[in-house]
Amino acid sequence: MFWLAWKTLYHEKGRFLVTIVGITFSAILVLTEVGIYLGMMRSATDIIRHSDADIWIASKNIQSFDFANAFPESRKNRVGSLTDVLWAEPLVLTWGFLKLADGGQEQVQIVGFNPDKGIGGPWSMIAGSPSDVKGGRYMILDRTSEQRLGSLKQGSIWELSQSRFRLVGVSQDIRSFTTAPVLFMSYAQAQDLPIGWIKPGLTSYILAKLKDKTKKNDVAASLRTLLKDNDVMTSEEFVMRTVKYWTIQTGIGMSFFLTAVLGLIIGGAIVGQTIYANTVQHMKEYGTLKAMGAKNEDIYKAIFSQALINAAAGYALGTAVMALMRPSIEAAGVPLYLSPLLISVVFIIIGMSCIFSAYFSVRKIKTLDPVMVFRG
Amino acid sequence: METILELRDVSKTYTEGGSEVKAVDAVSLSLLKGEVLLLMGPSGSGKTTLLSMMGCILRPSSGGITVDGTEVNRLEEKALPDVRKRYFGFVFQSFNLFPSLTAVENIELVLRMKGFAGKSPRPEALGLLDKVGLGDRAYFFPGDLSGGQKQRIAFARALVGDPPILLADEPTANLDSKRGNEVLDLLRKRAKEQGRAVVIVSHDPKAEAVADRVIFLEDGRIRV
Ligand SMILES: Nc1ncnc2c1ncn2[C@@H]1O[C@H](COP(=O)(O)OP(=O)(O)O)[C@@H](O)[C@H]1O
Ligand SMILES: [Mg+2]
Repeated sequence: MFWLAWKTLYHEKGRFLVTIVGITFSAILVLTEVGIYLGMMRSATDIIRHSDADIWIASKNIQSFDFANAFPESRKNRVGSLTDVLWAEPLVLTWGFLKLADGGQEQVQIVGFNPDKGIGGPWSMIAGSPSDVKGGRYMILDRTSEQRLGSLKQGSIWELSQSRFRLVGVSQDIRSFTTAPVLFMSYAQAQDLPIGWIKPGLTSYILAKLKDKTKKNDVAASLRTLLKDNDVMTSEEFVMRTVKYWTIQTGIGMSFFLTAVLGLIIGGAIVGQTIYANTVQHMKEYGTLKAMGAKNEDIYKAIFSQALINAAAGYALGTAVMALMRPSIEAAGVPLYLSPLLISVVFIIIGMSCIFSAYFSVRKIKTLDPVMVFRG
Repeated sequence: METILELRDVSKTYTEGGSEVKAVDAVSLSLLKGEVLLLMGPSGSGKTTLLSMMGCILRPSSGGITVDGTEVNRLEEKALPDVRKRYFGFVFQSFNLFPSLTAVENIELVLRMKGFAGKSPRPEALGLLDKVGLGDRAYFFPGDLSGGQKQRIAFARALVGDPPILLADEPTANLDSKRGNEVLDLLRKRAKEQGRAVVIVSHDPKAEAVADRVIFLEDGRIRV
């Protein structure tokens, strides 16, 4: 019956083509929205996921990685004193303004890490090394910021919040959710910046690594009783909290999600409409098949096959277009996350929405009485 | 001759808008292998209703139907498609071919539907088309063929699986007299050369010439 589906679709080439183009657009819409959403969520949690820490200690009621209040760094010692803790390191997160060559300025997300350990620092470098920020006003910027900041020449001097910093290294593909350039410097320099709420003696985070990873829920629980004025999270919890903040609290992620759903609905509606038109057009022939002994299921197969043929052809074209468009989307500074798994999952979802949309046609076949073939 | 299909006191009552219409009223008859039975009668006399019940497409309100020894009344609804598939070929007034399939594909479709097991149904479908003299039209779509050609394709399609009973409802009504005769000739040969039972519903006087037996229906009853 797959054969019949193919023949009846192919016979109406114009309609078939329009449907495929419709699914192609729907696939592009869904893949772009989901890809950008996942790309942004990965950016938002990049530093957490690459930090190698099992536990994050933050100010009370923190919502996302990007907005942290300061608290005394001395609490690091209490964390480190637990026998299960292998190490504890502070990490500063703050914001500043970077002056550009053309006189303008850009807000940047500043990460201050311990250059002796590298914890919370950049993990992928194309020039210099993370430890180069040690011992002075040195900074690392990311290659993806070049579009916003201009050429990132190693050794160049920049003005950051009224201090002069030397660019000692360039990292690769480290982005923030807010799209503000990520700037790395030493923990001590970050505390020293004449801006914001971070001052010497204060930190934004304490990161802890455990001797035994499997104990992290227990250790987090005991740290919670120890540090009543802080939020203590496993790194997974912190990732989830950050994702939830950007998705639900701010509604930013949700708008991507809703557009993706809209894309699915449009795709489903186009396929449903085509199949329905095709079914109505062939009612008499399907009735004839039923009279000749075809079972409902035989005809359902033909209808569902039509849905799948449309979905597969449109989706294949959609992913091909995405593959072509991807470099220019990424060049525009938008992180786009596409993996074989994601592409398969989205295909299954689009396929299901197409199959679901065939429901009205199937219902028409179910109630089709073959007696009709002898009438009119 | 042997009986292939038997109707015993078969009636069909339609209820429409509260009133009841007795479309077929206590009809009994036996259909024999190798015979051509012609059902005649004025419009609305119940011919189509009777034919649908013979073909196990419509269940009677009362009475019994036996096909090749099987009591059809006792079968469940979902068993009926298999009875139709095995025992019946159908020819319709308006041909009912898939417009998106070529002549040969229309026949292949039914071969596939009836569970064709070989590598490709194409040679067999072409063979059936040759039998009705349309081998050279195999790759035409129905829309590009004449009524007579379409009805011959429909006839070839009805031969798929070599069913013992062929039911034809007004097969010549949409054809001119020459094409009508060709189709009637095919139906007669089906009975006489292959020994299959053929039932024709028709107003067409030409059909009387090919029939072994004529039954007149009037208000759902057999006129004697
Ligand atoms: N589905 C139906 N519902 C109600 N009445 C019907 C239906 N089908 C047929 N009838 C009625 O039954 C009678 C017999 O119809 P039919 O079998 O089509 O006769 P014929 O084929 O001889 O013209 C007619 O009065 C017709 O109006
Ligand atoms: Mg009729």
